[in-house]
Amino acid sequence: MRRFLLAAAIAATTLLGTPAAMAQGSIIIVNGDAPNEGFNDPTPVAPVAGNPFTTRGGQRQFVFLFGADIWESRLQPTNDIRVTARFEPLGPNVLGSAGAVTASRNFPGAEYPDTWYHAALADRLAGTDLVPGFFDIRALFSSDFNFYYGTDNNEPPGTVDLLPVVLHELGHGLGFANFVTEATGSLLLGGADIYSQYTLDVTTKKNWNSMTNAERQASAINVRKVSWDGVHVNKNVPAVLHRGDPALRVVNPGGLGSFAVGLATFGPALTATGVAAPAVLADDGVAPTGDACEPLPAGSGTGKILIVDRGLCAFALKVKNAQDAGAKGVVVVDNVQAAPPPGMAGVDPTIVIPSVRVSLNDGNTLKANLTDLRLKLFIDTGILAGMDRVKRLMMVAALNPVVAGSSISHFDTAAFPNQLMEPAINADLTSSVDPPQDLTSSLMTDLGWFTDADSTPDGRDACIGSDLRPGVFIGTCNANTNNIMLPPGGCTLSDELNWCDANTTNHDAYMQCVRSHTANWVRDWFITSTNRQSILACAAGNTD
Amino acid sequence: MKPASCSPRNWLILGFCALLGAPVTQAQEAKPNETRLPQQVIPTGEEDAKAEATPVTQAARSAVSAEAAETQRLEAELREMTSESDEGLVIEQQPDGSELVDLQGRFMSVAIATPNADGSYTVSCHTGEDAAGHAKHAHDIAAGTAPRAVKQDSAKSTTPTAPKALEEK
Repeated sequence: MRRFLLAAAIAATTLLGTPAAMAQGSIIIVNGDAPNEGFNDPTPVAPVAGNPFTTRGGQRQFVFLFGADIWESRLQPTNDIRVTARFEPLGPNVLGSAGAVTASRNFPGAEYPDTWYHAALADRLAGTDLVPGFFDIRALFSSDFNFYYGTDNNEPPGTVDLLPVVLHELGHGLGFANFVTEATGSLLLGGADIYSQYTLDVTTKKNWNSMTNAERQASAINVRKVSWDGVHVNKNVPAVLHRGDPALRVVNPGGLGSFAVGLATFGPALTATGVAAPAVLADDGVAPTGDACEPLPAGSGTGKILIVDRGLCAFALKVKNAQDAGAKGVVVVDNVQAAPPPGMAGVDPTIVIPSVRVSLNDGNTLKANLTDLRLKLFIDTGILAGMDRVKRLMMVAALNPVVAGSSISHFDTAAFPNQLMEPAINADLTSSVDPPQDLTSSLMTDLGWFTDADSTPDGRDACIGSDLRPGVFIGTCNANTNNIMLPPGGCTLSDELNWCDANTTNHDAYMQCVRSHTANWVRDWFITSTNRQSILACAAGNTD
Repeated sequence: MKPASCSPRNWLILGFCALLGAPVTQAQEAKPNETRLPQQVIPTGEEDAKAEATPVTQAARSAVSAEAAETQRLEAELREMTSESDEGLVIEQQPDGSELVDLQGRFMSVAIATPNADGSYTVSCHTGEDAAGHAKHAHDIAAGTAPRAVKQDSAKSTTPTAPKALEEK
């Protein structure tokens, strides 16, 4: 179901490709480029991995359609999603952009009142095109940048893989974004939005829609303390994220806890055992003395972790100087406000000690506690890489300062393996949006892309696609029991019974599951004993 | 034969090329003290006369001015795309009782490529007013014009002065 519209042909709905029956919608890329430009660029090029087209414009079309198909096959929209797209000069180093064209609220099917939804998601929930004649998503990509147009995620050096950028930016347009001005905390026209509904500050325990502007402004920079509170993301976190979060722990003095760290591209990786040692400030004798840009006195770091200031020379040089002075490890303290601390780029194969980077604030905390200071650099295997340490939810990217880049509308950079919707579009991404590689589709589920219209918002609904028949049936057997919705909502009696069927491997285990569930329902007054006997009788005959 | 940058594809400076017939490669060799040109568009007239204009320097100014104007236009577009301001946005009541707001091309997310020392790129996604600033920073790094710090007392340094790594702002 490939579709590509010429902008001029929209009125006549001329399609290159045939849309499917209207029961399922499509993601339609509308070509807004003039002849010989952008998608229509006739420049001859050789086919590249997975992309058979032989003009630059053709290859651009193919990558966009490839990305649209990934989203379409996953989201299965009920209405057509129209994306107006162009390639044009966007300025140096700007690759591309996308976003919703309109936002809607209080439409039929909206799961939350007075809450803005992105156009495409609103159409999905309403089951109709709420704004006929409008595009749903606008996308502009650079006609100047040297993109890689293959589909194998194997871009050569000096290029950027277009496909994950398209997937990422379309993801924002489909709903993976708030409408908040994060620098001020203000909402779009004073109204809540669906993304903010599930954005939870684990310190204040408030979601973003429940906050004042000042609270949102503060939360936006509450680094590693803002998480996603939807059930589907967090249900799938264990299947996606790897165990182990790099950290710096203050062993002494007690009470300072662990700090987030940025990792180096050089030197050995941190381990679960880690490196623990007394910590002291580096002093190279040349002002500013703490940057370790000059060789350090011989033996001044022996058996110690050296605390080094960022700036004035390469990270690798600082660490090498510390290593030459006998240090067991290095903590580089940032010189600008940036949290979580970014990584440290560099190359030096002779470096054999671990090093990390901490934020300016955390570094100042270390410097204020130098007496008998003892640190440990390690991988904390007690936590999944990307979960918060308070409520153990998947984190979104609170960054400090917030103006350092897009923040809350992304997963946190601590997530590993890297996720499509992190602020950094990493080179190791696959094209998957699903578990076990990625949590993006899970977040889309929380937002409402798979609504079952059971009155429980999908981000709170553990049973998407509920059996909403009025009575309980097991197979064709009528259990003569009302199929009520169980608290806290989202799952019916039939959903629970279906769960027993799907998650047991033999009939005895299945019957044990049904007996247990129905006993609880009788206890909690959801059904009568007579209902229970009827359900058990039907279940006993369910031997498929 | 005209230089490649005077080809029809390079439409920004096409007019300048046609008008003066001056190769851009020469035009770019402007006097070093004319550093204000990239910051402002200078029309022909008094300002040019004060600068002892020659055909070559005029050409340089025109070219740089055109580039600067285009850069400003692109930056303005980027700021508009990533704007999170709701000023001027209007809530429209729909017949079904729902409400709609046309975002006017705002609230878009922007992917920006920052070059690394090894020739690869770091790609990051930005929203809000800072996106344009980040794009400029990425461009400055690519152009080698990003500001670099200088050690206060380098006289005692035993390390030869070396180019700062890109990661060190």
